[in-house]
Amino acid sequence: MYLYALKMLINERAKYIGIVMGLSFASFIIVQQASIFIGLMLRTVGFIHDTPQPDIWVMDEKVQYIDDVKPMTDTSLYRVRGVDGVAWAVPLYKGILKARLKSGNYQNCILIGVDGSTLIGSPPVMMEGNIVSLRDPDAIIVDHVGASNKLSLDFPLNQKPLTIGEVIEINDRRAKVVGICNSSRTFQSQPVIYTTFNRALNFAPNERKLLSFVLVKAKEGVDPKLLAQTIQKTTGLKAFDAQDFRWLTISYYLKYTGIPINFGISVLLGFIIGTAIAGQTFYNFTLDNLRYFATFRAMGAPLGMVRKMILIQSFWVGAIGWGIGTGAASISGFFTQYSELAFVLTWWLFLASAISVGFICALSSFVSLRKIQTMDASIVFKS
Amino acid sequence: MEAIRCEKLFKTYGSGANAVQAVRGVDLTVNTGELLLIVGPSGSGKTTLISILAGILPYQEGVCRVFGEEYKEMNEEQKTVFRKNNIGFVFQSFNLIPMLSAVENVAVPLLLNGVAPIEAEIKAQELLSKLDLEDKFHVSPRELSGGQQQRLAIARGFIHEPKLIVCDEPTAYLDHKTGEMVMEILKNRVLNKDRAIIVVTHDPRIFSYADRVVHMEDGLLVEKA
Repeated sequence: MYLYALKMLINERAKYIGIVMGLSFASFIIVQQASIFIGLMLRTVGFIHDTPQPDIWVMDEKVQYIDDVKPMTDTSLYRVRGVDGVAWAVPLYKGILKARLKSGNYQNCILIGVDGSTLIGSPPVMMEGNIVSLRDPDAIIVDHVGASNKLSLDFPLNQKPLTIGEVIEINDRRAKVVGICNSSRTFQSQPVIYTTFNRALNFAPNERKLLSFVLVKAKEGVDPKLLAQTIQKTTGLKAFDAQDFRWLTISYYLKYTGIPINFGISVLLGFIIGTAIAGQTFYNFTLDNLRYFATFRAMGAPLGMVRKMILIQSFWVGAIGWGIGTGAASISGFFTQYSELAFVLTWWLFLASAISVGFICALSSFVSLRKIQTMDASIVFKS
Repeated sequence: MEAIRCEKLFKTYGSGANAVQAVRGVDLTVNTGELLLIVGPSGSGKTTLISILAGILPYQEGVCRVFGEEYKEMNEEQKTVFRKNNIGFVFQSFNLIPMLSAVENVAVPLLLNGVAPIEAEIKAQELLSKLDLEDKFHVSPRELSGGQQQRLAIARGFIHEPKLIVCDEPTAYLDHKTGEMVMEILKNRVLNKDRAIIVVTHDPRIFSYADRVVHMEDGLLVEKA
């Protein structure tokens, strides 16, 4: 009988497709929009992810997130180095500067100045050139997305990417490309340029304070969280381990930007439209088949069996719709992975969308089952 | 053998000022081997009466014993099991499932009685062949003519060998010739000494097939012929 329940569902083509499409749409929107949201949030902490060497990030006490750089005095570095439990501490510059290309175009870039002796904070993956070339005169390393897009020699045509050996100007100072790296995309999609800390200070406008962060490694056996607390107490600066710094940054974007609301509304709309389309169509399907379910009941089908038939139908369309929706979202993510679109699909998004689709199916089944339970059995005799 | 015994059967819809007495003290006995016609105008209570006889509708007063079993002493699930084992249905608008094939429609009562799907479909094919529907096994009921659909409905009504078959206006949508064919099948192929058939009808053309005709009006059996 349960196989017949599926045949009843599948052979009612128009309604079947309507229900499946509704659930696919809901599932697609939920997964796709949530993936973009997660992708955007991860972009905000991409630089922390790309800098895995330090256990602790030390910054001015007023810093709210990674791009909210409030420079510290140079002496902050030495104060941090003096804290018990610190294995090493290196400076890091992070700022936004204008780069001038050969074509005359100007482009805002994120300039990262890493410790010249240890190169801690340098790009995670080199695609061309060698990281040690960063010590060459005027050397910079450019991320490959920036090199082939906003920093390309013929921007905005982007047919002549910036390559090793090319010279650009940063804040009117000569900078020579010695490498192309692969780094995480930034939230504002600006090109990322790496250089040494001291050279970054030369590129940067002259200010009294230019130290953005101090990167700290805890001595072996020292808990980074405890060390971060000690640094805060001792220096009056703010100190976080990488995980807490990530959350600080993400929390800022969640709290002070409209991103969660905008994406939340998209996800909610997908859920509501999916519920409306799939739920209503499924309920209509049950209503249209009420006479047949009543016929089964008259012929001796127990109420539990009819309930199971409806639940199986609901589970079936839910599974198919969820599969199509998440599959389409995954494919769209696959084909846009090298584009500007921020898209990160995690396993728990599959789970969350499955729960959402399950909820839609459960809701429509519940309404349909109520109708079945309250139906007038004698409708079988009505013409 | 006595198939049905009803005594002082009452059925009222609604309550208070809106109460409508659909069946008012019906006494009825039907024996096995008998084809009984219940006739009467629309709204006379015929459908309510067969719904009670089939164990689908509850009644407020009186006795309704079907093969010795009193519905009032059964709960809903027991009545469901009783219907599954003992009663077959033929409906006015056929109530065939258009999304299932002819064979699958006929196999439903067997599946409900626990017969394995393959065996049920083989038996359904055998029965459909006997009713000259051997070339319609895998066709949807919506592709069949009215007569073919009613033959299918009859096959579904008695494939599981029920002791009572309840037919509601089985010839209402059929032309005279097809209506006669359907009654021929019910009378000559379905009815036997261990089985009773009750047919509710408006159609005077089929009165001749009845062993007995009872007339219903305003919820009462007022005339016997």
